[in-house]
Amino acid sequence: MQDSEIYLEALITGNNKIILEIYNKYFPKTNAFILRNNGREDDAKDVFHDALMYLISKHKETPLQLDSFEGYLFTICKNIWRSRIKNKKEWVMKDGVLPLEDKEEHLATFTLAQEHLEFYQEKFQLLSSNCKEILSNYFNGMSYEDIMEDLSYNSINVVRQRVFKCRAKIVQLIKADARYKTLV
Amino acid sequence: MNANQDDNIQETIDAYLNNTLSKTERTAFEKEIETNPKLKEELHIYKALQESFNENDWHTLDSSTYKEDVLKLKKEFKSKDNQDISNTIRTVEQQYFTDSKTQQKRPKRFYKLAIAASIVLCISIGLPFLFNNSLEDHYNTYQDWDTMPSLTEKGTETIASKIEALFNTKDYNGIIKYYEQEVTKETLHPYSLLKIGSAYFHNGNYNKSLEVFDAFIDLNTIDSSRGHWYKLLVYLKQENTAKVKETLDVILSNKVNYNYKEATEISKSIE
Repeated sequence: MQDSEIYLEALITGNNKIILEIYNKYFPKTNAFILRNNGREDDAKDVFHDALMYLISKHKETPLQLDSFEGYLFTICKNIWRSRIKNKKEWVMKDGVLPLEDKEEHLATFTLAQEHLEFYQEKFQLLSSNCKEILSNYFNGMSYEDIMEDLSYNSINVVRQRVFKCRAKIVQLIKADARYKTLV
Repeated sequence: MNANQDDNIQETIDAYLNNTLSKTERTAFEKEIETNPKLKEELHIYKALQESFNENDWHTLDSSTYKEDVLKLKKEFKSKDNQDISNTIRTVEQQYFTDSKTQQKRPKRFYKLAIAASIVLCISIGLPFLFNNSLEDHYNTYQDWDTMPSLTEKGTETIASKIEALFNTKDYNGIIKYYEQEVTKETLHPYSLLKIGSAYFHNGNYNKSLEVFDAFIDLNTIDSSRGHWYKLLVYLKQENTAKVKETLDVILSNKVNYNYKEATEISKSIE
């Protein structure tokens, strides 16, 4: 049995000893990530807990086949933190700072959004390596000019055309998949 | 649709998503979305892709569209089975932290011995015990409460402008009194939180000051790294070496953090 199967089974059956091993091995990385990204240890605790609950829910639904338990768990932790940051408001209530949120609702909304993200990622992997590189830079906020310099294109217009073509391709792949209708 | 038309649509959607359309263009585009389902769908996918693949963003789903799915999942997470597992995980989490604390305590004995030995050495060779003094010195060198970002609002008096005015006259008691007694469930501007944290600090209530700076950090505004810097000033003043180092680590984890250069200097000198 692979590590990931042992860990997933332990989570579902509530095996304290192995769950503690998961904490010992993987919590510090998540904690360091959250502290580096304006969070606190309490946030890291909640994120890690929710990530484990997410894995349990997905594994119960359809057994997960993971290449790396650590890699997937860390990705889920990072995405939960991204979703929390997005949800936080820029304004604060005096008492309690932010209104209390329904934990299960947050986890439910995250679960759905993560499903969508994995669907988009699957389609993204079908693009050419050039398209993946150019879109990845573009989606992460790089300007056409910076992409031109970074990837040695001749003009901004050529970069713009590549972005448009690559994006049109991924949109076409998304729409052509039967799952798209059930997701939207 | 020909290639040019397609490019034009992509261009307009990008401009809409990046907020670069004029007010008139924006209104016209929003009207068109309402009557053109294809365009609406295209916009939805572009937005989803842009937010999903940006590491610093997240695509939040429209809760009204997915209401039933969310309810179903919520019910599942609230089921007895899942609540039991959740409690087990929390119990293990507590055990993990208890174990970590026990492990951290052990080497402290050696540190205490080392510190005691250092003091004896310093006294015996006639040197002052420098380290804690230097934290206070660092505080005096680097404290920059006067350069906190300010809000310049004109017109009617707001909570933010009232706090701003009290801060400018260094009326820290006034700020605390106003915050504790008169500000009720109103919203506070993040910069007002900084002034309140600073007021508690100057009144010697360090714990409350740290609590308010944490609340500021929690907001995750573009300026939130300032919160770590002000916490660092509090810890320097308190001469809390462990917390100073911990906070420096956080500030030094990203070069764009507020006062990264100053934090580097402090870190080098206390090593």
